[in-house]
Amino acid sequence: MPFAPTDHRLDRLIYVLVKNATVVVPGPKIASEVGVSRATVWTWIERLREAGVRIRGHARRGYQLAALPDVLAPSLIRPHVPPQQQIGRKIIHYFCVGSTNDVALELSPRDAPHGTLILAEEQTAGRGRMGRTWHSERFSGIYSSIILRPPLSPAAAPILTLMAGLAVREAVWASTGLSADIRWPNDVLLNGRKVSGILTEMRAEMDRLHTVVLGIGINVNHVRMPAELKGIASSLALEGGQRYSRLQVLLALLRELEQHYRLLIEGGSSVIVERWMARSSYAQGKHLRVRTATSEYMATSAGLDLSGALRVRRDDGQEELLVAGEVVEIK
Amino acid sequence: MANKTPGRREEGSWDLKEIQELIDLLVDREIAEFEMEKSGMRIRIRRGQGGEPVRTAARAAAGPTVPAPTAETPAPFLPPTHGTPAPAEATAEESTEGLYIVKSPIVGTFYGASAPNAPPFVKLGDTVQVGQVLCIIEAMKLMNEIESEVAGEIVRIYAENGQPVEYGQSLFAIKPSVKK
Repeated sequence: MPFAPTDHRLDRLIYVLVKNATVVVPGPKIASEVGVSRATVWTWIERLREAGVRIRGHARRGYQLAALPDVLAPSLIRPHVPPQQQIGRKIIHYFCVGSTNDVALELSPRDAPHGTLILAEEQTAGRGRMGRTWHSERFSGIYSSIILRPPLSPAAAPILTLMAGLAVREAVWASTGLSADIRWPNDVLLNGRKVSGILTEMRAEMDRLHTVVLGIGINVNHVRMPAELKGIASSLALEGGQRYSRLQVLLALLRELEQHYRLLIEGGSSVIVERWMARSSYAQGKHLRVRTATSEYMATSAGLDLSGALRVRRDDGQEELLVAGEVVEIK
Repeated sequence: MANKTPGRREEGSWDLKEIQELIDLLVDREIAEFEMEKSGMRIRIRRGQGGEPVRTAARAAAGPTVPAPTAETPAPFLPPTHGTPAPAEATAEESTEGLYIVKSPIVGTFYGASAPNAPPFVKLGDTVQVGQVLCIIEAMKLMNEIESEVAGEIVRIYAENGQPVEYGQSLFAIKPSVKK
């Protein structure tokens, strides 16, 4: 199962188990509904168990879910994606994969139209910016990549990263009621700790954009973070004090991405910039430590320009337009 | 060569008939290459060598050269050109003649490696293939992997790791490998 997309019949099997969650489903019934042999059903049930899905029963008596699995199976997502929605109209699911972004970047436009969603229950090589890793604990977070093929010039594409951060922030609000902050350009924070990271990768020629992949990680139900991330990263559950349905967070994410992407394409970057500024405490008057590839200095934020770049006034009085780099709040 | 050709467009400039006569003269005398400047306009004609047109420079300021004339195609009328196009093998240090220049499609920060401690994607003298990653340009956490559109040798790297780059700024010069 690792590193191969989830077979659509296995996806169907999960759907059958979820649909009949309150009863024991006989093996032969599952086999006929999914269209595989009883032996295959048994193999797949074993694999699901290995993957952490709690299933009671055995081949003779039948199977029943011990707990509703919070598996992001395509068959569970699809009924909630409206027909006109492009984001999530095609879903490729993995139980385990190296990195969803790597999968997304390998797919051809024919196999992966605009809006294709790559999902993994676990990543073994989740990537962040500049070779950093993204902690991707099994079944705890949303590890996703969304393929965009936007009608934008490469030079205009960076605003997509702010759009994605804004969409995550709004999705968290809609699905959990938690009100998150956005740190430029697109980290989503709860109580100052990062609960979502976005790594966007683009394939383009000088004047022609081929693909933008939004790699979006959201920590949902992590009950503790690795020691090295203490105080820096957190999860929705840790900050909200309860578990949340990853499926509901994901569905909200797809809706918000769809809506904000349309706003951008139809209304231009100013709409995104305006909304982003309304949602982020980092937009104006925030005292920051700025780290670029070659320098580090203290500055105060002074709004975004139309491309999404952050204007800052350095403590030494000099004004800068930050196109790439990191900012950290000085408390 | 006629001095007072009727139909001359402008005092001191070339017209097509003059160029045609010039080519005839070069063919008659078996002259392979000819260059001349007149009234701020330069013309350069090169013939032979299998009819291969000389590769033009990638620099914006450089104008086209005249392909070797054939019976069917008269040499085109030329705007003024600067610099002297030369075959790729004879490339001088300052010149980018015959080189493929990789430019930045976005404003951002140039990274020559995938991570701070990782080896660079490419070094001077490396041979690269089409589609090979040369560098990353980052803007607002959008990582744009720049892939080579030609196969060849990296003969110049214009940007330094961590350096801000502008739209259209030159990043690499690649000497394309000769296709056989």
